Amino acid sequence: MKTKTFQQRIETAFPYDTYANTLRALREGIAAGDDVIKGTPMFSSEVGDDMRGLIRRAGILMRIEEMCKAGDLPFKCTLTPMPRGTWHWLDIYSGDCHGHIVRTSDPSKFPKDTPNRQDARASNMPDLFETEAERIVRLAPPKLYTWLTYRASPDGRLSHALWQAPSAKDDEWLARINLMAVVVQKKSDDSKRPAKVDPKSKMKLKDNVVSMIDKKKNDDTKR
Amino acid sequence: MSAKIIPERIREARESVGMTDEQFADAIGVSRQSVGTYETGAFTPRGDVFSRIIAVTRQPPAFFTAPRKHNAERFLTPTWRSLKRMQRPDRLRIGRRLEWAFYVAESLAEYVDLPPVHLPAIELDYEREGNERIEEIADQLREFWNAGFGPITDLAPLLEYNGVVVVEEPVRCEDMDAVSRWQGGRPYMLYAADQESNSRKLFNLAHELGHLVLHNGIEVNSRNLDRLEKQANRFAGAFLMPRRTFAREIANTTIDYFLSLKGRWRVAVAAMIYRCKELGILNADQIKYLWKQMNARGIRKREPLDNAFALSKPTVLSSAVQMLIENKVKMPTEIAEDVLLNATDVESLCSLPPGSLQNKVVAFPTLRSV
Repeated sequence: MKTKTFQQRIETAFPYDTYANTLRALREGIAAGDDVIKGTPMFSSEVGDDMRGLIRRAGILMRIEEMCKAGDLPFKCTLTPMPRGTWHWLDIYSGDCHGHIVRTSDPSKFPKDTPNRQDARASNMPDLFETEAERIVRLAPPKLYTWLTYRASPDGRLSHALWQAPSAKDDEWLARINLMAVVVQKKSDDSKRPAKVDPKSKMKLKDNVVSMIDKKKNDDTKR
Repeated sequence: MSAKIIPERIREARESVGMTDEQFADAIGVSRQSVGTYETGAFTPRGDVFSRIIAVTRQPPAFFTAPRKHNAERFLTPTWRSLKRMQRPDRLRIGRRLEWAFYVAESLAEYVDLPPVHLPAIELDYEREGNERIEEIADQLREFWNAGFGPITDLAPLLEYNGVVVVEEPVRCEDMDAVSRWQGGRPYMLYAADQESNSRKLFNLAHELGHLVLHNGIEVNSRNLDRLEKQANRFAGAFLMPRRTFAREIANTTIDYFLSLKGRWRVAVAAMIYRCKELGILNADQIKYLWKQMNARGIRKREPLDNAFALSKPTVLSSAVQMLIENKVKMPTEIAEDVLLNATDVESLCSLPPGSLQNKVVAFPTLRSV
């Protein structure tokens, strides 16, 4: 029996129904972070700009966690200490995926390398015991490690948001979902405007009126 | 022998100009009691008074004396999209316009097949069933009309296509947006042309559609009015912003984002916020935050993009009139004569250009000697 592909696994864990709320959580987290910077005098300098990314990150983690708790996002999540250092991250679990939120400069770029990230993605390897025909050893595959990558412009606009599964070693992606692109695509597929209708197309002179007109025309011609 | 005046027509004509009996009495130079006696048939107005009645109400003499071809059964009270403070004379006046639309449509329907009524038979126990059922009905109607689940950006043609007679008229009453009622087996809707916001017009039409679909046969009274209004509002929200598609697009809680949604769904930001609240898409804090942003920008009453898009005018009645005139079935003047109404009123009800049904001076043809 062949297992699901990486892409199928990521799409099952993070289905389309969750995209709008995921984007909303990111946007609201960014806005919450920006509000802190704007409303705090000590950040009204270049130092505030230095801190912007971190404060926005705090806002995003908070909003994702809140929305998961409220049931707006169907993921399990917990704020936990990172395995190295004193920082925390938000562990997100859904289906057979496990993920974290990271900022990237570009949709296809990897986040800045850290030992934490290197360790986490180490499990994302193809199953060594699987052949084209069948799996030789039936071991439960480890959860697919994913990143919710995002970036926002200085004015707070979200420029990209993707669920992506990094490969264990090389800087390449095993699977990815571009949330913003899919929302736009689905919007045009599912929510098409109804075709224009013309009420006149359902109107006509009554048959007896048409006969009367024809008869009158004939009479006029005979004269 | 002079034709007998029909007393009820005097009341009808008075109500159609929005006058109380007192105002009418002043206008025609008689006492208020006399007006009462004319309207009940106890007395018939003298010739000079009758002339003044004609002058004040601007209806032709036949209006007061001739029987109508199409007599309507007693109509139920219409449902109003209006503020409770709307004055009674305005209600009566606009109610009469809705009734006259029936006479005009019935008269035209003698010669022209109008779009057949195509609405699903809906069973709603309006006193017991709640919002979930209304959401289902709104979805059901979209499916019935094959309208998909995307934004409905122009509603009048869709309503007319499905057999609703729609009238757009200046109502000269800022407390009233729209009114609707089933008349003689067909749904009728009249909405205010002088309403400034197209987003609001769209919502008003959907609200009245809600009444037509949900409340057919229900007599509106002071006890059920609030419930019926809430249900029609819920229907309008559900019909214009279906939960299965609209909810997926709420990906942000800034006013700018909602304005971008308005460009797509054509519904007022305020209506979208209410919709998010009723669907539980946003929590109480988020809703509060949105209202705060609206207030801060001063757009709570008048929103940006209210008229950034156009809405089509109703076309069914005007097209029917045009078909009759073009095919020489009727002379323009006969259209109004058939319904015993002033031509200006018929032009307005049919959204026809002023003067199009009136006698015009035609150049006398040059005679050729044979």
